[in-house]
Amino acid sequence: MTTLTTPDRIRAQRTPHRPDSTRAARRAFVAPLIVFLALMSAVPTIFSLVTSLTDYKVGADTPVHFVGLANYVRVVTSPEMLATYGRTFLVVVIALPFELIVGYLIAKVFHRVHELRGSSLIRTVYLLPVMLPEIVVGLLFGYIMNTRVGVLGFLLSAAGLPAPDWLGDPRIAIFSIMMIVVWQWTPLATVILYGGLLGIPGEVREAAALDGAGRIRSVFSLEVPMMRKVIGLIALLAGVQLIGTFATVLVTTQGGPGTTTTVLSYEIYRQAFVFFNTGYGSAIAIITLVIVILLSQLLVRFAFKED
Amino acid sequence: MAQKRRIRRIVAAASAAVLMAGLSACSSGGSGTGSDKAPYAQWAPTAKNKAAFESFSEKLKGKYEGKTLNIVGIKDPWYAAALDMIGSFEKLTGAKVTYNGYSYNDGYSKEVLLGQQKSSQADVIMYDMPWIGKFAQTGFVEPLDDRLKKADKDLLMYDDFYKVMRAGAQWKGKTLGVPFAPYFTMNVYNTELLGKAGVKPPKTMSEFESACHAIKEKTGVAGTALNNQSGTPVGQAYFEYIYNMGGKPFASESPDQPGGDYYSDMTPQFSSPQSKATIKMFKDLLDCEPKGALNIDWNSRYSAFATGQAAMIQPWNYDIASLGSSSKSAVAGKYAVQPDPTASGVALNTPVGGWEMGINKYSGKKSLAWDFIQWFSSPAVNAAFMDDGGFAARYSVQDNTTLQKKYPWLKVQAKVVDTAFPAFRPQVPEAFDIMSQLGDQIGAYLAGQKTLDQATSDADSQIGSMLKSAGYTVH
Repeated sequence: MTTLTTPDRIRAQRTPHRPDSTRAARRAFVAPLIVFLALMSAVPTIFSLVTSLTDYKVGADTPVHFVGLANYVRVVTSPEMLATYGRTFLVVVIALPFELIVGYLIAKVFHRVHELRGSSLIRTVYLLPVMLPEIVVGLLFGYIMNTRVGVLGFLLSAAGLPAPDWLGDPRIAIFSIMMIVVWQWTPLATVILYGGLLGIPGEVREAAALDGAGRIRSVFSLEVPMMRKVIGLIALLAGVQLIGTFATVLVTTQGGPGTTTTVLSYEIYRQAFVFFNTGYGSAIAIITLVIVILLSQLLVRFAFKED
Repeated sequence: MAQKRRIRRIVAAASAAVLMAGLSACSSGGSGTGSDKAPYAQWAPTAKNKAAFESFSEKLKGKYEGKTLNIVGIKDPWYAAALDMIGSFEKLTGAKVTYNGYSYNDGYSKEVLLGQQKSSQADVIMYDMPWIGKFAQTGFVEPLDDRLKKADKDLLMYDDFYKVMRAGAQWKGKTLGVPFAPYFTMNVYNTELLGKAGVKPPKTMSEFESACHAIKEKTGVAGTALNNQSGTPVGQAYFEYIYNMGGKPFASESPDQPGGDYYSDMTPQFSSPQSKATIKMFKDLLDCEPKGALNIDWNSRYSAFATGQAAMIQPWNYDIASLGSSSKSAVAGKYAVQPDPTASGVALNTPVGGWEMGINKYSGKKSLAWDFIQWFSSPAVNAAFMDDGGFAARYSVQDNTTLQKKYPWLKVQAKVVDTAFPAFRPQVPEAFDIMSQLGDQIGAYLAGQKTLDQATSDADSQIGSMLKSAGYTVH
């Protein structure tokens, strides 16, 4: 008896001589989606790429010139821009592990009590921050962290602790932004990780326990390897979301004090829609896009590789 | 059981109806709700104007039935009063008026983009004085000179508009807008806190600085609150103080410039001793400002004063207007208003800003837009607007004794109006960029990221090179 491997099986299932009309029909069905994707994604990207090679300024009544890579050179030689990239990188490397670790710990709690009555309601309520628009969360925390009227300062003072100037102290403002972002997005990581934990068969856990694996060992030798793709997915989603942090900064600090909370998306917005430096703003956006694609590819290769 | 179910259904239906009503009210896009204060003719300052206004109103009756006028502007504190006036215009003319109000920065971006797209989405464009250069450059807002010439002089009373606002509506000899809500800054102080600290209302900038520290020391309350937030807030604050500190932002941008050619030499002066003194003052004052001072913008400056957490501020008049209301302010009855302090020996130069209305060049309803502008900015409607929480754009409104009784600060405004310099913030197309870039540099200095010398020298070079590449003379 011949044993077929999965690709062979798929190949075998294909109709060897599919009529051309069927193929054409398939293409016709797919075509609108391809056109839609091209219009919504590829066209703006190409437009940005072309714009980034010019000195185009929206609203200026001046001729547009081709400037080659001048905008790109300006981005990579500007100390302010490099600091902005560094700051955004800092947000990702601090907030992402935080979201993963805290999300995992809470997911473990959910997993442990998942059969208890009312646990699904708690999970739903816990997910609420994700459902709020980023701008609403920013406004909310703008008040909570306000040094004069904010509840956070009030609670700390009531407990006899010093209340820091969360959003106005240049040394901690960026960490306050991270706190807000982590508060909003950790529930998403939790829910995905919770799903991953539920996906681990009970027999495997029992086998590990019989083999003498303790709690810590089970986490690192069983759960993390079995949830590698889930963790990779969260890292991908959260990483892209963290690089895109914008509205929180816009409504809480406007990039300040100084430029201590100016992150990439906010700077792109400022260049493109406040200063109308469309060419320069596009160059920053394209460089950011390339970085995101490269990091995503690395992550995909690492997390989704076949064993 | 069935009755219970019926009651539940009725309650659910009623709740849904209330919710729908609420939602539709929220999403009405700012269409005027109107008031019954029309026809406002009783506010007309002269008999001639009253007759002209009544005749104009008669002509407008039902004239625009079925037509829609779209206004793009911002949601400043006069928004509610503007909606009341708009409602009356709708009743009078039959037109539907949609007011799309945005925040300051978003309003600017929206209008620049509409102009770029040559859009006819908006008919009336409301713009802040420094934006005029940008709109003139793109041709988005059309000149009104011909319309002004043909308008009924008794109705328009053009010379009754504040001189500084008339000048601010001009760009290269053409009039692009009609003023309706001008802003001036004045010094507002908490009489109780100054009394407790034994401090006199400051007349000079050095007295102001000393008073700020003394109040903080003796009462524990912040002496002042300044717009220190990076970017536009602190960038604008620089322009609000530089002239009264005896300096100027650009070589030729000064009220003394011969021939009023304010932009002939745009060499930045941010490293001048007066500029450095102004910016250093911002930093020195941080010690006597409320906690979180580096994040203070227009709203938090106002709220610090209105809640009694700062003793003196120099806000725009729109903030002063609501201080007297005990429902909005904890300092009602405990504050006084005076002109801004200046450096010793420097003549007062009151910062001015505020809103003008122009017509979108690409609008398909220019007659309706012009009738609306004439009606809204007329002496009678401007007075009614002021009475309802808006602002005086005219001498006749400011001098109205009924209004002065209601808004005592109007008398101080009357004293400072003619000390204002229309180009105190440059009105060039690059104005917004200048204020934002300067604000970034000052913000970096205040946050300790740069020294004063670094920040001012970077501001000089960055803004200088931007202006040079835009074709200005920069040495």
